[in-house]
Amino acid sequence: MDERGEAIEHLYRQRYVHFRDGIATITGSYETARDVVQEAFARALRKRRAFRGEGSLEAWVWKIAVRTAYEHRREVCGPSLNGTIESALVEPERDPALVEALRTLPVKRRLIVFLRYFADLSYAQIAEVCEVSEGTVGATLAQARVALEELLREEERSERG
Amino acid sequence: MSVVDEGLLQRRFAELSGPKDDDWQDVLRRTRRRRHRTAALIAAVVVALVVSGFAVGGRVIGLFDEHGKRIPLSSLSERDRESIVNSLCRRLALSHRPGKAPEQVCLDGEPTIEEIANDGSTIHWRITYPWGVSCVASGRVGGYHDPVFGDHIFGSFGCDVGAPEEKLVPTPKRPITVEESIGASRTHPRARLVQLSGLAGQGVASVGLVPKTGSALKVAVHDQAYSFGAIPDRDWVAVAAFDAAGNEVYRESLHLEGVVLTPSSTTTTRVSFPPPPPRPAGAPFQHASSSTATADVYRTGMVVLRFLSTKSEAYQQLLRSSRHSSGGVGITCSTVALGRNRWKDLGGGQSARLAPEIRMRMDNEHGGMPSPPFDFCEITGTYGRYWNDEEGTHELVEVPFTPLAKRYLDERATARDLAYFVRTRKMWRIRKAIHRGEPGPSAAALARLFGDRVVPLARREGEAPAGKIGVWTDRKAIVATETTPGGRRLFVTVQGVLIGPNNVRDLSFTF
Repeated sequence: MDERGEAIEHLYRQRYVHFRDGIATITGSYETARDVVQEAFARALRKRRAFRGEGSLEAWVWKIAVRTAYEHRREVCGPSLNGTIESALVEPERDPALVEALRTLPVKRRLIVFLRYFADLSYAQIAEVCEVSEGTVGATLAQARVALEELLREEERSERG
Repeated sequence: MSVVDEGLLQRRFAELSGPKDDDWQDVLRRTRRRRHRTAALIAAVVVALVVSGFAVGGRVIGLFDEHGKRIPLSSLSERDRESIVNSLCRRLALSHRPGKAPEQVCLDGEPTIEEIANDGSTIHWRITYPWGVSCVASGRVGGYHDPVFGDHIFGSFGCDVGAPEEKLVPTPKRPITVEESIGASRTHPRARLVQLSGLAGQGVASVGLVPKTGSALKVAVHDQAYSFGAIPDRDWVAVAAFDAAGNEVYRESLHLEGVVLTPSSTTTTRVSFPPPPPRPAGAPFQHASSSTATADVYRTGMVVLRFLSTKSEAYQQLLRSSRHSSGGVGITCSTVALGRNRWKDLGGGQSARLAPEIRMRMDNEHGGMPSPPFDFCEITGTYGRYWNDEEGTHELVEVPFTPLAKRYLDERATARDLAYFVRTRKMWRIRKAIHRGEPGPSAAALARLFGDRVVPLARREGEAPAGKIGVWTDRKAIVATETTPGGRRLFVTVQGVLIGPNNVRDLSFTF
């Protein structure tokens, strides 16, 4: 395999779980997310010569993965949901307080939050994947943290109390 | 301290992570499946076009008539020449002409290329090989610009070899082909039709999806092909072909009824490697050893790699990394050539199960692989690829048969070091800042940022001391340079997010 393929393989080996977990918030299950991530990396490998190095390789693959996940959602749920696809934690029972806090966020902000905290992407990478400015990412995450803070503080108080 | 700091959220999300179920071999299989499908589909198109003619821009051109405009191979870019030469040739070699950069050449002869159609946006070419294979390529007018790997004109490429036995072409008995995708989810396990497309033979004007009750959903045939867009979720039972008068001329069942897909159908598949071929009799054609392994190459293409010790760090590390790929490692054997300071390598290989002795045959049945004698063989694992990491930039097992290969492996390792350096996260932050128009750091500041392996250089053409990376910058461009063990100066120019002039692109992937 050429060096670009090697770089994609390396990315897969290092970051698979982040990809799978992040995409699962779109697909709704780990099984489907796995399938999407596998397909996304296969697509990235096939199209690797199209990557021009004008951004990070990881963000480029993330874009493919998110697009593949949305395609999958549209295939399963029909085209009417296009543009309003919700993202959510796959197993909400594992952290109900966090789920409750996330539920208060607008749908479009949730993906940014997931990409930051589940997928561990940098602000620049999220900006590239979501096609927004880094400032928008920063502002969204700051607002999300404020929104999450009160609910999680409440949880902390009740745990102490 | 705020309850919701970054670290806390990251930890909480990390605790919600799902099971580890990665499988790189599955990714590779998916890539190959798609390639095979594409090859088969284009093979089908080739055969279909022979029968029906080729409608482009309102003209009908007999694809295999003598109408093509001959394109000299010498007029193609290096990348296009290689893709044409490499893909099907069974006896590939590297040229060693004095004073010229090395090139891949096909000892079986060169293909002829003819432009057969150009509708103003897409060009189609026919490529004929002297051993009887024909291919069709297409690409957009004006070609494609790729600053990293070189410009090219061929966008897609397919040949009349591969899978004609799969009957993917329309026949009088079956005038349409059917490529279907079905989908399901955990919440909706019943299989539903997601995508349907295919080719249609002459006389088929439309193709329809037939529900259990009611009338068919039809799409028109265009240029011998049809495709359904969004397919409503209904009880589709068949696909049918209709002539221009609307008469049904063919029907075949979809067999979707009662099909239920469960999540278990997408579970990880383990890779099973075939048993190694028996050790050949007689003396090897080539033999060499390194600090980790010996390699024997036989004239038949058989390669035997033997580790000197299974307790060696190389073996143990390959063992660890092979656990991520079902126990497999990659074996590659290559030839190399050098001319006008340009390297060219021609390599091929396959995966095998890691063992103290690995035997494999270099399979060149479909062409595109080098034949013995080789310049070197190597074993690659799945270890890290970070700049300045403990793994280094050589492969764990590299066995050169020739001094030229030793030099190539040394220069490749140096080039990789530079490539990994310019793609580090720290460097990317700097490159993006420069791209935004901010002044970059000074050479001294860069050296401080990266530690003692990086030294500032006063001149753009300066050379770095052995084992160090030298950096020069004017705050807009950064030149990183390193000297190979043989004394050759390698360099990469970074211009913001783009890679500028460099002499490492034959040896490593820089971005």
